[in-house]
Amino acid sequence: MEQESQEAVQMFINHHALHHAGSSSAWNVPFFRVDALEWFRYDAVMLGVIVLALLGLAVAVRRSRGEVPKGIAAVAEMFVVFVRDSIVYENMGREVGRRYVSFFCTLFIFILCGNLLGLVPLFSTATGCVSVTAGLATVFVFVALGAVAREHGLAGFKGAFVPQGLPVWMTPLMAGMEAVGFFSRAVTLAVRLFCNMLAGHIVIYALLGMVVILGWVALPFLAMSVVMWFFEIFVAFLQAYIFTLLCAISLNMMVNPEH
Amino acid sequence: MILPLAIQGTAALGASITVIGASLGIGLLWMAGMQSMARQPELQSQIQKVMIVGAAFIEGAALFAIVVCYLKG
Repeated sequence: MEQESQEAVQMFINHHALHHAGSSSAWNVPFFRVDALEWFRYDAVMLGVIVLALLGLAVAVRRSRGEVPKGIAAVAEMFVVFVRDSIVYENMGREVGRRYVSFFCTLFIFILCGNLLGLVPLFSTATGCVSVTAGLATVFVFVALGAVAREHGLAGFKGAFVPQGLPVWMTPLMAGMEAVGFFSRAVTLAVRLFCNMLAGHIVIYALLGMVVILGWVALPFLAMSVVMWFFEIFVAFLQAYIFTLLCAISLNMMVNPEH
Repeated sequence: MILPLAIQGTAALGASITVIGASLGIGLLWMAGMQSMARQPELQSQIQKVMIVGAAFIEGAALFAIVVCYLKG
């Protein structure tokens, strides 16, 4: 490939594959390069896009709701019932779980929407930015602490952070360890989602980069990157499920410590 | 001149070792899962859930290492 066209292809791939994943202040508008404010990243725009998409979805679902849900309401009901039955009720039980179904549905659908919108050309993966996933994990931390206070009052924190049947002198030690474990669980949640979304885009970027380096010989890598793109769709669903599932398990350990 | 190359090579080596370990772990996990599902097909959904969560833990640990390698490479 000639030098100039090679550079053009490289710029295109840089722009559309890697900036897809990472946080960049240059926005992916076709044929233009928009340099936004330093702090107003493309991920912030994507968060707005996700919120708008979810609001539109909510209105559409509300409209098509009826005795027997049809159209988009049936799809939404499928997701909600899946989250309720196989994530929340199965891990937290019907009694306690009822109150947190809405939170977990919001979490699941928000993450799923972010992951899937990141695979659309010209959009960026909001969940591939560590600040966004850290924000989600922070929300979960506050919800978990609030849930303990709501279910058992202030005494519930002793049950959540100290195992039962422990000698008194070991209590502060175990409470410290459990607190560290709780916060490290939140950090792991954030990093897992961020890494998975970033890693998929980096793989696609590397496969497309082969085309830049080797030229037409590397055309099979283009097909391979399309295969990776479809694998990314599967990963988007899987990561949304895992984030929600681990949140539910962890919340259950805090709220029902005897289990 | 030689130091950046050495760092990059070490990072690539680290990433590949991480992938070996992670794939070994996930392979063992799925092997055990398949065997137990073949023995007790009625527990399939529970076993699958535990398998996916375990795979997520392995994957999380591996991705930590890969991201460190990527940032250093």
